[in-house]
Amino acid sequence: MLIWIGFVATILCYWGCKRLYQRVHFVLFNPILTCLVILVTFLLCTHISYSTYFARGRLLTELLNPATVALAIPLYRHFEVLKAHVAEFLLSLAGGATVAVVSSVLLARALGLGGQIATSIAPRSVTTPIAMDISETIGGSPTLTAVFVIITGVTGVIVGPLVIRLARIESAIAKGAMFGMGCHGLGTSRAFEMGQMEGTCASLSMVTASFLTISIAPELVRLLGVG
Amino acid sequence: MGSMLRAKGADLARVVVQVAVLFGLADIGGLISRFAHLPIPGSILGLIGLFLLLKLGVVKLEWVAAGGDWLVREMLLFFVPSAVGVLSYAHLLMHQGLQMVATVAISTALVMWLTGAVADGIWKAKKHRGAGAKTGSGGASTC
Repeated sequence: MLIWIGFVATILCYWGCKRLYQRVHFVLFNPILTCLVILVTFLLCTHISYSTYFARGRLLTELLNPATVALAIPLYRHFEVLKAHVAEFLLSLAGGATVAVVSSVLLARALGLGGQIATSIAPRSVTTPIAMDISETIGGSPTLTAVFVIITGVTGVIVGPLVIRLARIESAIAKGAMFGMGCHGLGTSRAFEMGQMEGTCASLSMVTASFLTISIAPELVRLLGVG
Repeated sequence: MGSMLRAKGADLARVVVQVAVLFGLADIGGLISRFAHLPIPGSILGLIGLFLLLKLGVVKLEWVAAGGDWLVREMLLFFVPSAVGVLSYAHLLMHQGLQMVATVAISTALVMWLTGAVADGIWKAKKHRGAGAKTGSGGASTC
């Protein structure tokens, strides 16, 4: 019975936080952040361990696989539009993927984070399984990388709208590209909130960013002299 | 009332079956990834596979759209249990959490700014050129 409490709490919490966010459209009320804070507090107060919680929480995580496959549907629907904007995607994502690895490693070092952490942070901007694989290849800690991927997702959905406003980003193409590149699946789901086109562009960008990062991250990390 | 409930039930059944189909595609992708030793996870291979199947007309959009759209709409929920996993790193976060979050936040803002600015810049340049060359045919670039 106990192992189901966390599962039920997650669904209720998600439902409530989503409702709240629909009413009060404030960036810090993003459901992923509010859910995270509430559920962590809940587990700490009830002394339920994360492994007990995740025994059933995993069922929800498993749904990420078919959800990722399902991103093919908007890509198929809007393929003609996407095809017309290949230059936008390729150039912006090549730049984004490079900056993601380089700036993560350099900033980590500048802020005094040690070797293993600096290596594990490098592939943080792509989807978890790919990031963990890259981390393994370059000598980082895959589980620590998974934590960085999550922090990336949560901070990305919060800073993203701010960047859009400050940089005066107008096109759905660019908004989608920045969310798909900057914060993987979480960013993609945030982009779908803005519109079908934004979400579709984010889906494409997330996939492209993964391939780009797989091909350039090991070499970049070697050049930066970590790992 | 009865017919409405029946319709709801049929909708739900369709979503469940289609989610199962998408699960299957992710699993097939996973098998291919494992056997071919590819660095690409099964779900991404499944995505590419489904796209090709739709494009080739082997799979019809109606076969997967209801379940797929539901999954995409609720995708945020599926991230929640892993996000709570940061709890296991409470010790590390207590010591270096501020530096870690600062690094990620600044770097992510940089990445998003660069990606957005480059894509938007090219988009605007194209729109400008298109508007100058042949006015009135800019319909395709309204997105």
